[in-house]
Amino acid sequence: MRQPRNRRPRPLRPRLTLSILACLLAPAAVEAHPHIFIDGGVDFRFDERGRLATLEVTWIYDAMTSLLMLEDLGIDAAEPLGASDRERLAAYQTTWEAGFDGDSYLWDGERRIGLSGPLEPGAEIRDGLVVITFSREVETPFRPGPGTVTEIYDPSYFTAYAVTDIPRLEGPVDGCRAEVVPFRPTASLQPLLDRLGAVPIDETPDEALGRLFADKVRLACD
Amino acid sequence: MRLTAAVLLAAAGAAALALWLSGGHHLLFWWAARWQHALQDALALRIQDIRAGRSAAFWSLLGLCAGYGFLHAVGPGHGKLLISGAAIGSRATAFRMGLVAVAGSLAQAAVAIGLVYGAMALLELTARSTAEAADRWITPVGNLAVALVGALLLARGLRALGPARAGRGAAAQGHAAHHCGHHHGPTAAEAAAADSPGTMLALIAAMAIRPCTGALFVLVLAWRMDLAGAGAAAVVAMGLGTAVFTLIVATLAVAGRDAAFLAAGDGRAARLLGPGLQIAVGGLIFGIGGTLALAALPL
Repeated sequence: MRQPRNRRPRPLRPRLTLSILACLLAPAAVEAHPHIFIDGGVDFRFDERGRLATLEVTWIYDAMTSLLMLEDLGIDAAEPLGASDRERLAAYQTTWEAGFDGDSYLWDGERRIGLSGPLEPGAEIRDGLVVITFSREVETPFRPGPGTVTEIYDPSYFTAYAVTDIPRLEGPVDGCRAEVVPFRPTASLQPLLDRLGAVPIDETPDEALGRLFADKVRLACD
Repeated sequence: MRLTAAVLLAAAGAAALALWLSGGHHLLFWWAARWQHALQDALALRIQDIRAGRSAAFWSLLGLCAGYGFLHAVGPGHGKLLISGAAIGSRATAFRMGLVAVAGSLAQAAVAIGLVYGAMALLELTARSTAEAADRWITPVGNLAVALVGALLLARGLRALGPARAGRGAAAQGHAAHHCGHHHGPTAAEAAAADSPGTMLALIAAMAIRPCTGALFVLVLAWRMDLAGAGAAAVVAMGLGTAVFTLIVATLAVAGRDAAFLAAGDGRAARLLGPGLQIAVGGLIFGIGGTLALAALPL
């Protein structure tokens, strides 16, 4: 079960309905199912020296969360999205509270690479679904190696992410390629055992469940 | 017959242990999450359709919600922990436990409706304070209720180990004359202890007090879209779906307990089994609820 000290800010900023909902959900989150589902993916932008410099993240919200969000902001999905509504919608999900890691994690082998907060926020409505885009600068740009991987997950598994977009590479990317490694339930019994063997029923371990089910994007350069 | 029961019990235990050790239960969880996504999308679509004036969408929504409630209940949750614990730790009949399962699930729906609509009605005046109050109080109260049920079971088990042992022994002798396969009905005293209205009410309250997350989503959305009636109906349907699964859990737990008593026979082991199960299960539930209640305290 999730406990207060494990609670952390989420991209859903506390406002109106969603704030009520989030607070009502806190006790109910004992049943640790994900309730927000985000598809999308990550693209990679390289600098002029061929180093990975920026991640471009796309979040496509599920229909229920999209509806809630648009209701909250008073935006009619049937109308074309105006400039100010677009800005409000983008800001709604890209104004992060302190301590929120953005649910995307970049690793170079064993080394966790720092990422900036969300930049260049964008929003659109696609078939009734809210699509949020933003970029995150790599704090120390580097040439990707065989162990470079981006993991997209919410540690508490309240939000379930799925990488559905094929990653694009931008800039001088000769010799580099990206590959999505989706979570495969059949292949992971052993890591499950190793990580979760001691987890009691009714409890979602922080830093375990979400990562366990995470899709990964591998990025490698020759 | 007793051998059959023992073999079945051992097989069921081994299967559960194998599933647990293999991590299979977490894969079930992942699988349930995928279904949840599909259902949640479908719910959102129905709610949009209802607002657009397509009346058939209402019935479609009710059906979907029932399915959603059932699937949601498949995941880990306190309701099933309580109901199976109480079933194992008592001699209550499957019928009684079934009643509690259904009442608890429906009460849970009622609490969700009251909570969300209440909070939303007050939204314009006291949005933050309503939410904060709910957050501050529901968690500890819910966990305390769980701990209370655990403590009840624990206390009953400890009491049964004392003077009740003589009574249980006499009952066992009575049973010895029965045909093999005859249901081990509880004695009057046992039934009174297991089915005491206080325990039953505590169980129902503890189940009801932690509303289902999916229900909250539907209710908030329905209220915002001026479809409060449809939202409430949908959540009651959801509660019925949850009730079906909880009913299955209650029945299985009662069957497992009865098989254990049958396997244990009428000897000393049988006399210790009832109180032993009560103490073990009550201790577990009390431990989980109590730990969480303590953790939720604003220290």
